[in-house]
Amino acid sequence: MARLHITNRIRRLRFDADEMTQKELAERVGVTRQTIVAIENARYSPTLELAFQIARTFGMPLDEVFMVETGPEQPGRIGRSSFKTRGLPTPDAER
Amino acid sequence: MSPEERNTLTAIVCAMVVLGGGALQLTALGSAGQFLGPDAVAVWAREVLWLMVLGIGFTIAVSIVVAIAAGIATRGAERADLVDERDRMIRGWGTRVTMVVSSAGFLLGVAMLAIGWTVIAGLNTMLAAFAFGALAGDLTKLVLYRRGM
Repeated sequence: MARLHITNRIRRLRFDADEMTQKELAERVGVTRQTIVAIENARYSPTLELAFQIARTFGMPLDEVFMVETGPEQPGRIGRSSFKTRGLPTPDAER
Repeated sequence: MSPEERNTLTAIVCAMVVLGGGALQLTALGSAGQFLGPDAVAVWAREVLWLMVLGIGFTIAVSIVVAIAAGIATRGAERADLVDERDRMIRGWGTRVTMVVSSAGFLLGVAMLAIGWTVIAGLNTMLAAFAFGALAGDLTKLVLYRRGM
């Protein structure tokens, strides 16, 4: 199974949140500053728990913070895009 | 550099020093004929025990000095004891590599004994396997810290 490439908007969100530093974010979610650097540079994909903690810090839903790159398409939201790429029915279609 | 990455780098440098020193010492004793005769294994074991004690002491001393130096350099801005999920994941990969290399070397040592190599040669191979296994695990961790995962 091809590995999904997950990107994020953390750098932008930090800037919008009063220019929060990487160190401040790291302290809020309980990781090292280097882990935040690695996540921002897409060199590390956080666990679901940490991803939710980061999203909660910015007061955003998870899919507004983390995106999955879907090949030729533009980066999209985790749910809908990855469902489309895999040819699965979207969550809406299941309702 | 995170505290864990710094610890890994320290461990690599210490392992290289200890491995180099240990190899030189064991080679010198072997060349002097210390590992010949009925008590060869006892002589080898005593030497290896001393090397282990010195190696552990050296690594602890260097780690303390590095931690103090890092604390001064960062003015205590970063928690030295903080280990997060990325550290634990990278540690897991390092442990796997250590296990594979150590196990392969241990099997090689047993195989050497099985086909008639001397006991000292077999024991040295097993010792080297564990030492290089630990080094390989630390190198893997350093690569993962640098390259990402």
